[in-house]
Amino acid sequence: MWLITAVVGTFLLYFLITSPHNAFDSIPSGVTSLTLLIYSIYYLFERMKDPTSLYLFSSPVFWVVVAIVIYSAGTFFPFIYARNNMEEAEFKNIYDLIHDTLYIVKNVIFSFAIMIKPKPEKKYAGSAISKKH
Amino acid sequence: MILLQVQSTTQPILLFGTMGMLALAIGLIVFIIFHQRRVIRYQLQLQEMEEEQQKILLNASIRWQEEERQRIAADLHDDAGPLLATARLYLNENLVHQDLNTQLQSIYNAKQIIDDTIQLIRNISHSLMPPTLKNFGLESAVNDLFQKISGSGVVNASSRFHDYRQRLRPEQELLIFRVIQELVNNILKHSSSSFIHVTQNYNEDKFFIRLHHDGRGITQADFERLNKSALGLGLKNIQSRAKVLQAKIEFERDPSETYFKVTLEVPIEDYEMMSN
Repeated sequence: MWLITAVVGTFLLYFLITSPHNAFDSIPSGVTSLTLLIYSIYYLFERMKDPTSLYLFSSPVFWVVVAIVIYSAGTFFPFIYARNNMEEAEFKNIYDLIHDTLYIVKNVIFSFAIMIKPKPEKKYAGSAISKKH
Repeated sequence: MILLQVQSTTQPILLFGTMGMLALAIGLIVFIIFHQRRVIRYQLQLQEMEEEQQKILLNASIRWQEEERQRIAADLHDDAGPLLATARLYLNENLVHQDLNTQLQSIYNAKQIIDDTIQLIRNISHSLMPPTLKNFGLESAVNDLFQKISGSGVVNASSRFHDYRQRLRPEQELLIFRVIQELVNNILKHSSSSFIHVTQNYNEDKFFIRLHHDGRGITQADFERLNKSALGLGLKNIQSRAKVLQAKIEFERDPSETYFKVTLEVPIEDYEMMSN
């Protein structure tokens, strides 16, 4: 995971320095979306395997990750195509529709995550028994 | 023309791609939510089962206490009560009869009856807390118990403590002794065995008591089944005592199918320290 972070970080830095500033950065945006998706999915599966996280929905981090997954997955294709098609009005309309909708959805879920009250994490009932014996 | 063609291929890809990605993301989240719900449901079921088991053990323990109280009450009421009443009668007679010989005789009789009563109360007290266990420890108490059983001539009972250098804590010794007593009682009542043999070992912070007999016995599956049913009060007591000791108890039949074995595994971390 640290290796992915390092590679992606270097790649983004390289693009920041070398790419022209007047065009949409499709490739870095796509790479960022993919990286965020990989991290989010990794986090979700790790939490699923963790026996101490029984009430996942009451965790604010879970909802933040859900918002990131939806936003990154939904905006991946618009970002990829944006560099070559941004000048076209029809594409711009669709791009705005998808991006703005997902942006609002993401922010709504973020607000929900901020407002949620985290419950104390509960252990599996079985672990208590096995611990005793 | 080419630009128009490119546009017409880009937009469906964009739309379907976005929809596909969103469908995958939402599918993943829904899957996780359903999986978590299933896990929570399973945990709740497990908790309910555990609570049910606790309730059964608690009921068994209360029932056992009540039976024990009734037994003591019956012993005192049926045996000690009449004996003391008779002694009182003899002593009353002294007030009526002034003849010295009669008085001496009745005093002697009253003394005999009071001696019997003392013995009876001692027996009741010993059944509540064996003095050998209190004064000399688990090994002596088990040996004492087995000598009494062997003395009856019905069953050959023997015990061997291999690694009992230091006494355990009194409450632990009492609980282990009660478990052995209950197991031996069950064997005598139900198994028709010709021998009972108890061995003790200590290994890797665990104090082992192994009990072998050649009669009709039960396996772990039978033990768990009886523990969940309304039957088997003695077995539930064994289970609740093992729980207090944080011990594991295992009922098994040996591979040669000639005898049954019960293993009590009590974790005792400070035993080495206690023996130094």
